[in-house]
Amino acid sequence: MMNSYRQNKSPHRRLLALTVLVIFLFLLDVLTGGSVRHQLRGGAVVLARWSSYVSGGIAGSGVFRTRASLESQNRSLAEELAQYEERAGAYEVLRVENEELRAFVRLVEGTSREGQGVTAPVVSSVRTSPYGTFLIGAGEAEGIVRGSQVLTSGGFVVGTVTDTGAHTATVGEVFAPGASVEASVGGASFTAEGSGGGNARAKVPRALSIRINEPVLAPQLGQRPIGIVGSIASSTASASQELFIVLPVNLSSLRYVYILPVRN
Amino acid sequence: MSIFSPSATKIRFVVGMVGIAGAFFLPWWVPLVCMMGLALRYPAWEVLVIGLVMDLLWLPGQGFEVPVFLITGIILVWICAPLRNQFLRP
Repeated sequence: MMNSYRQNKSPHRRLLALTVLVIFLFLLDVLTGGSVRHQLRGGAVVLARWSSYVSGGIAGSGVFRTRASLESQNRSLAEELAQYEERAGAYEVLRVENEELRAFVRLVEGTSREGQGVTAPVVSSVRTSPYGTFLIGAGEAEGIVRGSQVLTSGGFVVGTVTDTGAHTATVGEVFAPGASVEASVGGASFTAEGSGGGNARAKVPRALSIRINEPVLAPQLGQRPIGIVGSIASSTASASQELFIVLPVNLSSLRYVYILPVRN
Repeated sequence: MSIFSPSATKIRFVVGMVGIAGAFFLPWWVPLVCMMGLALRYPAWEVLVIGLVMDLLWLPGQGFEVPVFLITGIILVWICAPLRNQFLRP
């Protein structure tokens, strides 16, 4: 019994010390305005860039292709043809990237009256955060401030900047789980409840005539679109109908976002 | 078999690493599962570290917000302690 007590005492002391330490670190971060979290997020951005570089290299090397497919490819393709294919692939990558950036240029031209914004890469997956946030690779040094609206290339607001580091910023999704936002469709106002992943739902009176794919605007975000009506659930027994609002772009596939400057 | 045997240590190390890496790259439920697994089996300080990293990385940062993962980690570590002592005593 005594031996058992002695064996268990040390891990408990370590755990207690570490519990106090993590609480101290969290409070230190809160009291210093995020000094710890900004360092950690800077590290996360570097890690994300490295992992993207490494995964791209592995995918390009073909390590995970099946042996059968590699044999088939070896039989069917001459070396010269493979080179052309590689060039064509590289061209396709550049073309897609060019299209995305052209879309942002159009967006910038459309919003130029409000001042110059910043195009920033998305450096984290939206599925990783339990709080409906994601990281972008631009921060205070690039002129991003808290409260800036974050837009897709199509001009839909995906969120607002909630925290900024030197070269990173945290974006809180408009449709984060548990978040609510005032929205309007065809002149009718209601509150949309976010459920994460670019989805939200809202209850509106059944008398309102609302069509699928109709844009949903947010008055508090400068009457910008925040999504479209994906589907409508209506019952004759109920006085209200339920709207399912979706962002017309897959959040997981977002590579760049445009950050609008905050108007003073 | 003692929980401090090399194989158990390796499992703990791997699960801890998956949990910490998962805080950066994997869906949020992966670190949570790792935290629960570690807390049930070991007196693991890694649970607290994973919880802290999750909250520092992903909390929106608008004033004081409830650090759900850190609190979950502390609860898991200390609530599971009597359970571990009862059933997993070496």
